[in-house]
Amino acid sequence: MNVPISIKVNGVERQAEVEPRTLLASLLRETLCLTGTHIGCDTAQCGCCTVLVDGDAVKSCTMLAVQADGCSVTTIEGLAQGEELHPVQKSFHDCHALQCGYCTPGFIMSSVELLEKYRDLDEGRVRELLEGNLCRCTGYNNIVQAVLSLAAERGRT
Amino acid sequence: MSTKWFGAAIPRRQDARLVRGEGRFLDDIVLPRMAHVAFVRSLHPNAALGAIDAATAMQVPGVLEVVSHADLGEAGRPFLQLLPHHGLASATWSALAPGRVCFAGEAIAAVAAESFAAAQLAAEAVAVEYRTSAPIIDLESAQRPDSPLVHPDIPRNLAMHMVEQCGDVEAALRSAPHRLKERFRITRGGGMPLEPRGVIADYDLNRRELTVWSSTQEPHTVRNTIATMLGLQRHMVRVIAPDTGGGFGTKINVYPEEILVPWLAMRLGRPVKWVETRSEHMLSATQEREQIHDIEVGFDESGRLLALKNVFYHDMGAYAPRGGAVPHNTSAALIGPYRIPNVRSEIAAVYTNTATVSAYRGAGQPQGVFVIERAMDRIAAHLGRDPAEVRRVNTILSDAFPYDTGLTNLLGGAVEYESGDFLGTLDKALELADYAGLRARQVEARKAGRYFGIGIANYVELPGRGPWAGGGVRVEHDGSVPVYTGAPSQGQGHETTMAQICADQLGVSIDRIKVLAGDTALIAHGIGTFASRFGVLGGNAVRLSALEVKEKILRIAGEMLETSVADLEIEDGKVSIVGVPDKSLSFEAVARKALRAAGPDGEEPGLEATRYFKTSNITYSNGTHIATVEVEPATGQVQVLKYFLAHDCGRVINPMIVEGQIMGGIACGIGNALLEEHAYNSEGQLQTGSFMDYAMPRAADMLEIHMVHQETPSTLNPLGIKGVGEAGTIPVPAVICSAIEDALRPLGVKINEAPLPPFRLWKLIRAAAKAA
Repeated sequence: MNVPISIKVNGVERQAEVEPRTLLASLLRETLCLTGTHIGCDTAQCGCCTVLVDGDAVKSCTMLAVQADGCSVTTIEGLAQGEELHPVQKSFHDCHALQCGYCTPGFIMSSVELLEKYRDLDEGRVRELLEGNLCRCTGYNNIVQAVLSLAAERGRT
Repeated sequence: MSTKWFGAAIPRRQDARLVRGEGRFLDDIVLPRMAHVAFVRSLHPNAALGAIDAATAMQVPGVLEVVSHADLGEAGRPFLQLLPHHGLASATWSALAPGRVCFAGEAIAAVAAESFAAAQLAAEAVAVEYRTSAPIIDLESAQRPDSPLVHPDIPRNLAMHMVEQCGDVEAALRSAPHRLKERFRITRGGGMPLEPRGVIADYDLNRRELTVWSSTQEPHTVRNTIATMLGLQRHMVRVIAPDTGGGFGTKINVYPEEILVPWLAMRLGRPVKWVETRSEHMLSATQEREQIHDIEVGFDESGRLLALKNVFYHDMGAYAPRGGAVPHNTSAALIGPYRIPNVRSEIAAVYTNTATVSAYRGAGQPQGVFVIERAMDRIAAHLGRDPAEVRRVNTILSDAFPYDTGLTNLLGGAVEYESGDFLGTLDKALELADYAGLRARQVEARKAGRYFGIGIANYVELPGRGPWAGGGVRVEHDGSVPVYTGAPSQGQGHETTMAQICADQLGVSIDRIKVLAGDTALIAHGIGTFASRFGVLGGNAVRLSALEVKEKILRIAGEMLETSVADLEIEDGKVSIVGVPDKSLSFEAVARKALRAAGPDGEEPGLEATRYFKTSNITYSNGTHIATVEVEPATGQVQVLKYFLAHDCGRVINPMIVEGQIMGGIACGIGNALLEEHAYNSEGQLQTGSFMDYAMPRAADMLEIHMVHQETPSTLNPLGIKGVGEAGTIPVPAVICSAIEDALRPLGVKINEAPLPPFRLWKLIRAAAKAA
């Protein structure tokens, strides 16, 4: 039996009828066609599917769509303002923090959250906070740099 | 030719869509009326298959079809052997297991359904009758006459036995002042691209055309194999590799699913999609690295190697889709940058009832480098000499190139290093690391009771593998320049590097260039992206095409401007008469003329060329890595402190991308050295079936990396490129284990294996303590 839900996704109220077992990741990808959220594993380890739910970074493969009823969800597609990239997206590009780009949306969403939530970020802390996301291409250092450069910028302003 | 773009750290052009989540990966593609596939995979590693009962499965709502090998007809025969190696006892896989299974995870049946959930549910309801036999898992005992057989027709599980030699090893060993024997072992891991594999197929019944999307490194090979297996003509099959989320070798082979899914699409008359789950990937995608080496070295008082004898066992897993490429690479990589006059390398490659072994980033080379570099450390320790100095006395000098090592590569040619400055990278790395300073620091650390070690490893990489690659260039009527190639990118950045090469050769801004790849409709022939080959071969193919187009532009412009070609120059998409800059023509004007003016007596229309760059050999990159570690003996925990390297990949197209390749490669290497291991139990069941058990390096496992580039151009191609994709990974297990052994020298711990997760190192530390 399908369940009606209402979720604000990237600022827009969306209604859907979902099977109770539907994962948030499936709802986003299959029903709402927001394919920037990726699936890289089936044990909630890789973080490719990370989105923001009411501001918290959440692996959308670990949350049922019905649990997100009434929540506000931000996906990678919701970050840029038209042509203008979100500062984290721009920083990833500037720092060569991506290669194949598959893990990138998840890393960017996790980075948005940690820059929002934590004020005193040093290298060790950033590495620890990105624990939930796997990348096989970059070796992480440029990703860490992309986050740290924004943290440093913030420190200057 | 100016080199405005080549060599510059141009930001990547593909990033704009990828950071926005606008990449188009395989699972993002949805076709109308698409059916979904799930596989029934073997529970047992070695079994004959009896009845396959799909009656219950067919009753699951939404199920369309359940098929097993018996349904496939001709499409179910074993694949053709790629790279048929001399002496290889070939065993290739089939679209579905043909009556018996050779590893746990092999696909036995496929279920097509209206949804993936229904297909998965039905797959679980398929009842398979197994007649199980004992499996052979252990590499070393696989050859014993009483071992179970993986393939009944291959005696002693021996896939390949090969001997490579130069000089007279036995005589040299007998007369050597010093000799050492060691046994080294590397276990297996996987490439683990973050995007699992996947295939979509759509058959147009009326036009009899098949379109296949696959997350592959080799769309042309997939096309050719589909055509062969399904009895289609190649030009009726189009294979597209969309944005691909990493490859690392795992996606080079044509897998059973890449035949089965198109076959199902033709049978059902509707599009079919299969996307691999990570669990399936762990079980059935290719893995690599398991080898055991028994080596003996002979050397003199200075540490100079006189003879190297190596017998090694290589685990092929269940099948050999790519022949003996990986163990042959190990053999070719064995001597690295060293002069070794007498070498004997013997390979015994065996089948086991485990997932198939094929190339993963480095493809056999990390093992070869591990062996020779561990030997260097042992020689240094035996003689009480500095490990850097022992490496120095053995290094091939710069005046010795081209240097024939006496071994052969997997293409059958000589392992002949075309150019290099091997002492150059050694010296640069030692200087960058402040090696003397590190040794002084080690003395202090030891006084303080800390286990601080310095590791060093050299390598020679075998990139740029031939025999050819293609690239086309066209100048359109509006002045835009599509560049199209036969090899897709899985993150390497072809969209940027190929554009850089074209921009310089053609004399046009990079902004006008768009690189298209990963579609067999773009270019007739292609081999693919692997073995760090495409920058070298594809880059040079694009150069050839750009130069041909440029020639035509000059010819046509010469006629238009009524001047000789010799008086023309091209810059920034404009042709002008030298010294008369106001008399110029845009590429647009020339391109339009090239279309309009084509006539029975004139040029053929358009500005376009597709050329292939051919090579008879492999290029050779090299470098030196140095790492410092601190070990906690009570726990076996290793902390890698700093990492230094000097590398030489010939001329660098884009230093930012090269550095990115190396850093990413080091992360893979750190996994091989300390974390990653695919473990099977003695019953042949994979113990590491998810990212919860298989330890991938994470952000906190990586460390500070300092690197310097050295550029010794390759003499084998006009651009002087050598290739770099695997350089970061190849020496890492060697350098980390070198550092760990150095750190634990006061405890007398010898490191002969990788990886070394804490429990394994702790056991070695404890064993050494007991022995002492």
